[in-house]
Amino acid sequence: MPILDASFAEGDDRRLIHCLHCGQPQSVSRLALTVNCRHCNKLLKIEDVTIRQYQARRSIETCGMLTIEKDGNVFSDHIACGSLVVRGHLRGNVVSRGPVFVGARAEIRGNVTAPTLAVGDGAVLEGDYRIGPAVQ
Amino acid sequence: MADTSPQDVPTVLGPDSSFKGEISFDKVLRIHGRFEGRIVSPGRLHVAREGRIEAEVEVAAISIEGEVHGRLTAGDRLELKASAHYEGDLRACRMVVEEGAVFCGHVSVGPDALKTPSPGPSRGGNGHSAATPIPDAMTR
Repeated sequence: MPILDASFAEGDDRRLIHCLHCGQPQSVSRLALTVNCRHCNKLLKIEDVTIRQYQARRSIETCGMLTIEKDGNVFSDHIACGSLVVRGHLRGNVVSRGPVFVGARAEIRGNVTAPTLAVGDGAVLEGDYRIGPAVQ
Repeated sequence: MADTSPQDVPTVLGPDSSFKGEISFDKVLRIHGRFEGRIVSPGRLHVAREGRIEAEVEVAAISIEGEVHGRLTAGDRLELKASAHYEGDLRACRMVVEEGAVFCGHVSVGPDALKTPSPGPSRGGNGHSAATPIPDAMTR
């Protein structure tokens, strides 16, 4: 009998991601930081990213969760992520494959495309929004 | 049964009603039916789950559970419930969106949102303006 049952290995150790480029779903190990998409072979960063200070970047791409903490202040042309949590300030255009959470007192200036959006009381938003399950 | 004064009862457009034109009210308007036109009021507007409106709205507070098309201005607060469908341009001091709400259009929310000039005729969420300008340092 094998020591490691294959069905066990497919359980909690894996998570489902969607490729940022081709949109295809695939199962990856929770421990993996980067993978190549099985469908389009592009490199995908899948680790969660947390930003706690000022950052100006051309683009931020991750299939994981992007979190901008209270002291975070992000300027970026293009942000593509698995999901987004904003507690600080963000200026840029966002395409999220998963939910976007905007905390109270947080600020987003830019266009946002996401399947769901939750906004806390007191948040500042400015831009074009496309929110809904059919927009991805 | 508790007595309710006439002031406590909100204005209600029932589910079998259809209204076209301009309406104003003082306290609360609940729309369960269909509305098309313009709503201006210092009060609170509630669009029920079965309500459908296509209107230009300027009120103090809006709560949406149904389907809304048009330009919304909320002097105080705008709430999009989980069942809400909204298309248009909105301006509000404060906004609360429940997970599951579907909307499309230009959003301007914050304490200064109402000070900025209104963005022309409503685009109904179909057209998207240019991206938010990025500082020059980012584009080099």
